[in-house]
Amino acid sequence: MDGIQAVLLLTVAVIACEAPDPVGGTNAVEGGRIGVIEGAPPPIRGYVMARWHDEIPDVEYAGDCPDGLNVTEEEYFPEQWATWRAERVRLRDEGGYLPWDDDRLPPDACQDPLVQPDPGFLTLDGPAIVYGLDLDGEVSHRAEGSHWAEDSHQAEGSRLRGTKGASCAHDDFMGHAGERGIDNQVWRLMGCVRGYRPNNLMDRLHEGNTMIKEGGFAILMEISGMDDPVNDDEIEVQLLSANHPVSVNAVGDLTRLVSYTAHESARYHNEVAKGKIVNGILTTEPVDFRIKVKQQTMDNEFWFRDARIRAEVLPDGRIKGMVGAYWDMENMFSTLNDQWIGPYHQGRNAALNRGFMCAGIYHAMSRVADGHPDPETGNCTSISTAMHFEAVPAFVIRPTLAMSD
Amino acid sequence: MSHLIIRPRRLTRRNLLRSTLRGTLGGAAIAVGLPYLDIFLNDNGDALAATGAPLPRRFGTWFWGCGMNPKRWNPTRDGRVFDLPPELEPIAGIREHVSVLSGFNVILAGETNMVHRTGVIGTLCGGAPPSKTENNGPTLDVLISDAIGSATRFKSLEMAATGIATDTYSRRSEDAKNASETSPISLYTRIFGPGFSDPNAGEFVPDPQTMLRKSVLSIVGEDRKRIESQLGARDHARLDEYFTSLRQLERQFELQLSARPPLEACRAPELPEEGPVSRDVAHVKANHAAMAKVLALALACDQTRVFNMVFSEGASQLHQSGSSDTHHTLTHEEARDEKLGYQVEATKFVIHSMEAWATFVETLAGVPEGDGSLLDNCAVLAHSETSDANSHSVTGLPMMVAGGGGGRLRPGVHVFGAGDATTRLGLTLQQTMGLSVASWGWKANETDRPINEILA
Amino acid sequence: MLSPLRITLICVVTLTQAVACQLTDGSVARGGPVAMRRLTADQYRHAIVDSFGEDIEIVGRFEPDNRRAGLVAVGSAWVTVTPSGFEQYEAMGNNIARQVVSEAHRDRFVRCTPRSMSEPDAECAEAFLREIGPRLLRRPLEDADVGPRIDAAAAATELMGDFYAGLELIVTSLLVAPDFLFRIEVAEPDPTDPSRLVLSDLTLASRLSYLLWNAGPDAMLLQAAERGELSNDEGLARQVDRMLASARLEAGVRAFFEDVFRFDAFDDLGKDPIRYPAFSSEVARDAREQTLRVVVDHLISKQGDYRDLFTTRRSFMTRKLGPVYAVAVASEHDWEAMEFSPGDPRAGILTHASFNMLNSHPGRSSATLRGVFVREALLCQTVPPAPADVDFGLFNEDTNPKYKTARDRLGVHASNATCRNCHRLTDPIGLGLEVFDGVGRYRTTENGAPIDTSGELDGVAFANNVELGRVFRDSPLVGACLVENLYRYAVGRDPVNSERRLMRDLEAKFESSDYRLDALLRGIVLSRGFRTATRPQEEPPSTESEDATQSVASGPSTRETI
Repeated sequence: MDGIQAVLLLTVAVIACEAPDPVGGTNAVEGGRIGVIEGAPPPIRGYVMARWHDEIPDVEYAGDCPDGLNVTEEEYFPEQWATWRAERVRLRDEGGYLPWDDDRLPPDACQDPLVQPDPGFLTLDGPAIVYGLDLDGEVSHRAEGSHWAEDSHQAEGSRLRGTKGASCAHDDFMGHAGERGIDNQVWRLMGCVRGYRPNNLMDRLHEGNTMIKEGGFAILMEISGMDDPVNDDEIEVQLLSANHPVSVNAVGDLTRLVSYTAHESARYHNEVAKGKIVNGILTTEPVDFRIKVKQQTMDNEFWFRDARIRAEVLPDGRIKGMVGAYWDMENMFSTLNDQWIGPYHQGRNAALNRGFMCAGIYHAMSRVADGHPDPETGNCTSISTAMHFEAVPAFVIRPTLAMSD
Repeated sequence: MSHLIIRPRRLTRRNLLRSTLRGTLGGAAIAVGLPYLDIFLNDNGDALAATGAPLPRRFGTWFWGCGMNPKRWNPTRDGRVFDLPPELEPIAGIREHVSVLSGFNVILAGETNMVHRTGVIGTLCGGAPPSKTENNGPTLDVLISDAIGSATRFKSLEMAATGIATDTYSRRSEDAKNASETSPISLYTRIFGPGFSDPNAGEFVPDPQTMLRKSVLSIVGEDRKRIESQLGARDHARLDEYFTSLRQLERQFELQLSARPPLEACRAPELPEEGPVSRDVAHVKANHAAMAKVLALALACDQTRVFNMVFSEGASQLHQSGSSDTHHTLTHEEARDEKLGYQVEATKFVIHSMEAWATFVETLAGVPEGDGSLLDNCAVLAHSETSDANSHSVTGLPMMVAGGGGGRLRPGVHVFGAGDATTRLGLTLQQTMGLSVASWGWKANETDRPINEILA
Repeated sequence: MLSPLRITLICVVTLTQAVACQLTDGSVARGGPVAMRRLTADQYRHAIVDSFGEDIEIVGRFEPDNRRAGLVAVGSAWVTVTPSGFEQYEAMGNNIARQVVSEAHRDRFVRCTPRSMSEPDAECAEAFLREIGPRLLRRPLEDADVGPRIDAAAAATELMGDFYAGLELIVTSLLVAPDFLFRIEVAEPDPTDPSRLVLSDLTLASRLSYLLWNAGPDAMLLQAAERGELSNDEGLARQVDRMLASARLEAGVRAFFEDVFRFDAFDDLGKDPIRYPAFSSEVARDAREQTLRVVVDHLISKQGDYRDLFTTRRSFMTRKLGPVYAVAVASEHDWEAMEFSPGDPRAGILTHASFNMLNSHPGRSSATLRGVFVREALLCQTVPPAPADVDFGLFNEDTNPKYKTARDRLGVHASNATCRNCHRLTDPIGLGLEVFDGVGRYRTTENGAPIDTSGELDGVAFANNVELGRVFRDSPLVGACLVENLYRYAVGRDPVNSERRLMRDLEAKFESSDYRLDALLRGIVLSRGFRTATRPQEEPPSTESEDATQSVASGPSTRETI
């Protein structure tokens, strides 16, 4: 059937709504592989993210944190915290409750990072091997003469308290295939935080994938123009947030071929990125995108700038790979304070559990930032990062007025 | 055997008037005409009236599906000193309470072996059924409850650990099957919920609501002749069944309206925990154990004297957690392990079934009653619809009898049937329960020889 | 072990027995014996809703229904009420009665105000009884219904000091009455020919109402019956046409197809979560509803040709079913009408997820179970069960590298003479549907090998499952089987020999009316068979087929694993 017939039929078929974009047709699923009806134009393929999380390396490297790990606010202000804790326990025994913003504690820097002086912050030094992408197209070194393999210590200046570090300069990592120039300053930033170490708190949370499964973090992807999943020199990729949680099946994985309505706000229908597929590897040009996250106490978004994808189209229809992007700094700080696992991981409490001080990390962000320099000050405002993802086939339904539920 | 001295507290009209009036009308004395009392209170009769009555004798069946591996289940030695092959290992702890019977058949004599059906009907009804709808009842427990079930609140209690109401083998006919209770909580609520009157509680006050509900049944019962006159013989029989059931409920209300003599062994169980109900063998075993506890105390409180527990139904659909292979499917599809000589996964369910049976017997044995335990006053028949499930064999059906039968049984013996009909056991159990029956069964399965080896 | 020759004979005899080609006795068609049919759970619920509205809660467990001759509607004429069943009915009725007279509801149902809240008022009690009684008992009240109830209500009021306690007693007494729980059919001598029996008007009203609406007669129908209007053609036709035009027809049609399709098996359906992780009870619920929606839409809204159900590409979809059918569904929560495109493998209700997930095993599809279902439920043919000692090991191993597809594994049936005779009835149909897996998803290969869905149905070849639908549609058995099923559903029993000619007439009329369901319903109701009766029989009807009985909710799993 030709394209016009297909569109006509699909328009007729979806009686209740007028879907301006054609949706994925009845593709035969043979043994899990999505087949294409002969002669039809390449359909728009929809996906939903089944996994999405930041890169944390598999192993700990000896040179990672020679000066140790970051301290928590409790370790930094032990008397004040001890006083608060004692009072909290006493009140609890009487059936009362002492909140986290009580005066006995230092002012909450997680809400306003400037209410405390910068206590300093330890960033990761070592020549770790990480997953990630080369975002700026160069193998960068921060300190002059330093090389990622030879000099494993930070230049002394960066560890001085209260100093804004050298703008935008940074050391790249090496990738697993030996490639150099991997940009992942978020790992530099978080790498010496206890909860972010390999096999620690965040690593285990990633494995459980609860952020996606609990439903507050539903990301859709549409790929159009993909004639050939192995080699195609012209495709388009768009990321969108969904308007409702993902569907999880009987064994806890995401169900395939579920229909998802894209978010009601066009803010989360992101810019379409051009891309191509070469020998099964899909890559895209940089675009910005925002992803809505709304779950439990968190109501926020992630804002990644100049993000690009590098992924594999697998034979069973999944797409698996990475997103490399610059995470807007202020956005990153706000998400640290607006976490998704409820009160124990929110703000000051989250910082405590994960092992850092908000005041320290805020200033450290400026020191590690490596993207989007502010035109006036020249300081970078975004931090390179890498995220792993796995997408399974789905249908993306665009919301229209006729379909408001 | 002990004799409880029981002094029933009879309900006189004076007692009733005093207590109901006080209870419902705030103490104001109101002249109540006598005639209406007749509507609400029929003559109670002599439920447990006489002093010196022995403890009641109970009968039950316990069913598991898909049989066993004969070579690994059948003991090789007869008599009191017999071996416990691997699939009988789980009953080692209760062997003194149980007699094992092997080598008894449902004799087909030309009838079709209806898979997962002929074996049950043969043992419970008396022979090989000629079709799917004929001779499917009444089952052994119905015969017994017809004789002894009217003295208790419930004529009989049916339970299915699988949670499926239609998993039941207690029936009067193909069209009158007694549905099973499907969860420990629903079983508990039915017995020990609002309708339960504790025989050991102090002052007895009949509940007016019960009186009203009973009077409803009287009204309906009066209408019988008018309706029956319109019906043919078959529908007449069906309506009879309906009115019998109505009468059973009426009797249940009567018992609730009468002061029951105290029962030493009786106490209400704790409310069972709410748990998942499914055919996952872990859930089935948990629910079975919880139901057994409720049942044991129901028996001790004389709420019923006949019970039927289905652990897994014929063509058992039980499965291990996370697997969809059912016991039944495995018996047909799993290959025999070359070295071991049996189907490894399928046989796990046989062990589970025997473990559950042991739990059941232990639960009954764990309720003290009289000089011994509740089990001493029970006769429980455990059986399956087949021996070797793969071939649906009805020869050498596995059967066990637990309990002392109120002194009439002497458990702990293995009897080899040498090809005799399983009806011999049904005959024996009916006689044990006091039924006057000299022979039982039809055609090739008719018998007049009880199995004396299991008797005291 | 039955010899091959005997098997053949059994199969052949059973096949022809079911196909309508009987001797005619030449006399005027005469109905069979009357039935006494127990209300199904749904019919009980409808009765409560019709009398007391939607917000009265019905709490309790219904005695399970039984399936006879393939229909619960026929089984209802066989089942009775066991002690535990009666216990449940009484508890349920008592609970309903309490709600009806509760302060929240009583104003709606009790039109009179009693003289005193705490004393008997026979007039008001009787008015209440006469208001609700006829609808529940499906007949006018007689003195014997009224007197004892009013007396007992008065006594109840005196005992409890509450007028409404008496009314509660009245309601409970109606809800456990045999006239309520059973539809007791009554036949009387035909005034024009006393040697024949006709069904009383009230019995006709009940039959008509349960057939078309799956509920008791409404006030208009009861009135027409009381006036004797149903004993003549015009009066009966008037009521039939009124009821066929009503929106309540949908409930009746749904109930019928739920029964024929054996959808009660959904209540107990489980699938292997590892092989079919997308399956859930909501998927099952939607699959069931989907088929019924398609049927109702086609047969009622469109007044379509029944046979076209097996080729139609129109369907309804929800987001739960989307993954099973691999289609996009725009509506987030609602049902969405849609149509599969001409080349699509989904065509006709045989390709629906419902039948394919029901007639399968927990972990894989089953060509034989599907074939058996189609033969028995849709073609009214009987398939004998497998012999007891057959060895399934070879057929069922779906990991054997030599036998990759079901066709390969079932090929062993074709090569064994004992098996062939029955399996050639079932397997070709089921193998034609093997592109639908155990939950009804479409696939073109199994274990890497392509699935061949070609075959033949009673001598007519088909190349794939779409063509199977077409061939099925054109089979003369399809319409005839619907007629027979609907007739048996209507009268609660198999047709007797003297009704054979009536069956053929109904089939011919069905065909000439382009297989429209409303025409068939009308034809059945206005037929002599529906309205007349023979004397009650002592023996069960002889047309009962050996394999007929099947307990509700036993489902395919108690059949052998094939």
